Amino acid sequence: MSASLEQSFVKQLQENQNIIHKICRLYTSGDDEHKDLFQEITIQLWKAFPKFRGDSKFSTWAYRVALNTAITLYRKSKRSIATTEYDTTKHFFKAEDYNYEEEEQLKLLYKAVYQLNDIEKALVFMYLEDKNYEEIAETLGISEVNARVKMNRIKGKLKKILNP
Amino acid sequence: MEELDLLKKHWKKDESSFEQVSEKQIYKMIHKSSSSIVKWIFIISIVEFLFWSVLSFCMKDGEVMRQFDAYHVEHIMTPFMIIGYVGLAYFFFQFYLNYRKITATDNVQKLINTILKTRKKVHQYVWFNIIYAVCSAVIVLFIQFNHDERIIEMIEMSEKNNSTVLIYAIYIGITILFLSIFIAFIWLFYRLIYGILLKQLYKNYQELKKIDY
Repeated sequence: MSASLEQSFVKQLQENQNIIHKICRLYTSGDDEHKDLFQEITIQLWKAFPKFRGDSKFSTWAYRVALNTAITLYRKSKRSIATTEYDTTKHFFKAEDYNYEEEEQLKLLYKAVYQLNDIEKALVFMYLEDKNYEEIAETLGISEVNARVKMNRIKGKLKKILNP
Repeated sequence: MEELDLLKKHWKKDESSFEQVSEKQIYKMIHKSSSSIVKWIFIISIVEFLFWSVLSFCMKDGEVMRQFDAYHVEHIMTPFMIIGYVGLAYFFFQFYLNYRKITATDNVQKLINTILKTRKKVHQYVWFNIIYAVCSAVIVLFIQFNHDERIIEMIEMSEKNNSTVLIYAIYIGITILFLSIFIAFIWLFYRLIYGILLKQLYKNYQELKKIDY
């Protein structure tokens, strides 16, 4: 692949890397694994890049490939099976808006999201990213109605985990 | 506020909290090799194809085959071997076509489906080989009973002692025993390798199917 293509890819990925980091955060439970999945997603994105026509935003195209990699292509190591106490909220709060109660709730929420399966996590991710149900359904390859129903069930499931 | 909306509020703020990867690091990453499930399936499948091909080539030059040349049973062996090679070519081509179809830009369900289809083709190839091995054993037994002088002699002797059934039983029994060990070994191998590799994939596939029905 040509050097200019490589340059364009690296630049766009560097600018849009946060969306990949968010997926890594949802699907892994430690820094090493996060880096590992980030690398695999980068490789898959690079492999698929020649087919990227630019008719959608790079970030939209990238998050789909990234989700696919996390759900289907990435081989989870044994480390990820054991749920480690990975403090996912450690970056959330800046000193000036620190709120103890919210932080505790967020910790619980993250723990609950971790208990969801890979597909449910994908739905949650797209919900958090404000994707509409048409896009969620298309990304997963299910019908829009069923995506909506499933999302409501997940909300119910999270509520149950948080308020047993 | 709904639980997820609280998370959403912070999700947006979270953008700046990730340790940023530099362009230099990304350059390095894209030149590294993938360790995806698809790559592993591809490597294992190539090893499988090589294993079965080497096995059939080895048998071609084996003592049994040399013996068979002397029996002049080419009219049975040649078509049988051609079926074997046509099978190998067909399955390899199909496997390669399916493998090419795997693309991370598909939707999740389609991608898992394509991966499982690719895997299924290799699986069918294994079954083809097992059935081929069973048929070979039957043909070899049939030819030996009709052409191997030692066996013919033994059968003639046993006819005098009224123990023909026993001779047939011993020969067929030994063949079945070896075939069973062979099939059990292959079955175990597959359960182990693909059980580990595809467990998560099947689980996610079932989950998607469950949502859609």
